[in-house]
Amino acid sequence: MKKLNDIQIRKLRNGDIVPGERTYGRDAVLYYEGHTPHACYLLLKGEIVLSKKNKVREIVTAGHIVGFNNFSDQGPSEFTATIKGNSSVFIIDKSTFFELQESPDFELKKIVS
Amino acid sequence: MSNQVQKNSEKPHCETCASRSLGVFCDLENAEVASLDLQKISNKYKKGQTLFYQGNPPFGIFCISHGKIKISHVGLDGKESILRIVSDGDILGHRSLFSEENYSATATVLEDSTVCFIDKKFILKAIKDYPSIAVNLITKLSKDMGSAENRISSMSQKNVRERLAELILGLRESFSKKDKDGREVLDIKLSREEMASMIGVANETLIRFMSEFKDDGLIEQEGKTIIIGDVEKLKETANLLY
Repeated sequence: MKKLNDIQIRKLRNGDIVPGERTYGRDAVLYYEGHTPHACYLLLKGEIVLSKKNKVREIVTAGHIVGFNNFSDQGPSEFTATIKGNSSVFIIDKSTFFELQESPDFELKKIVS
Repeated sequence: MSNQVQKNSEKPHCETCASRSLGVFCDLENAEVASLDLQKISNKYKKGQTLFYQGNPPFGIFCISHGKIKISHVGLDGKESILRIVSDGDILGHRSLFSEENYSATATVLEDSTVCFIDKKFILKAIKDYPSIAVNLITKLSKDMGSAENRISSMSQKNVRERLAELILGLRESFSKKDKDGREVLDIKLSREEMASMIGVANETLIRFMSEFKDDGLIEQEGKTIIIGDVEKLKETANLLY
């Protein structure tokens, strides 16, 4: 799983590539095991639980991106990712992913490499 | 993206999607549809899985390639009411997306479905490049608003019998098919609780009126399958204004 550094998070927060911090009011499945994620999610606050066949495999903490590998390859996820209520993320959808890839800023480009 | 070629050969393609002519992208030419096809993310959802949750933030729209999704709202008392059911060619999440509000309802899969997702940035760019998408979206929103107004009117002015007849006719419009005996059946299986919530009554009330409808020849029932009986009598019972 990818962890971003403070510089990258600050650049995302201060820039206009990602739409802005999004808070999930209640527990929600971000993507299911076997699905291609709609986005990858940088967790800013709270928790994301990764589970496989209903068994918890990992608890993701702030600063990490979930779904990156499967989103990047557009392949099926090995895990179901469930975000806990009152957690906040930056959502990196497909269009944003392409914009970051094209960004002249090295730190931002590194996020999606 | 390291590889934009579809990994799963079973995933739907916009060019050949059975719902293409039904949706907001129906006016696009093949080359434009191909661009949409590359951008979308398709997944097969199992019954009971959720597309989005009431209160959470939207960031794209969902296109139903195939299947049935129920849109429901949970009140403060925890009671669920089904607002509507969508199927092939419908889009979801557009209202919250453009109003920039969190989802006002939850979308849950009623039967195994294939659903495509397109992010907001791409939609906005597509609207700029192909204004017909905006026109189709406005048309869709207008129709949705009309349906919502009709529903409010029905709930406040019609009695249970009228509301149930109207519900069955509405389901017939979207989901009827002929069975092997030539009978018109509703190709959707809803529980009593779900049907009751759609017309705002208790289960027991629904059961009583369904039984009355069967006695009156308006419908027949085999398990959860509803078979349409006397359509004209159903229309009369629904007291439709149009």
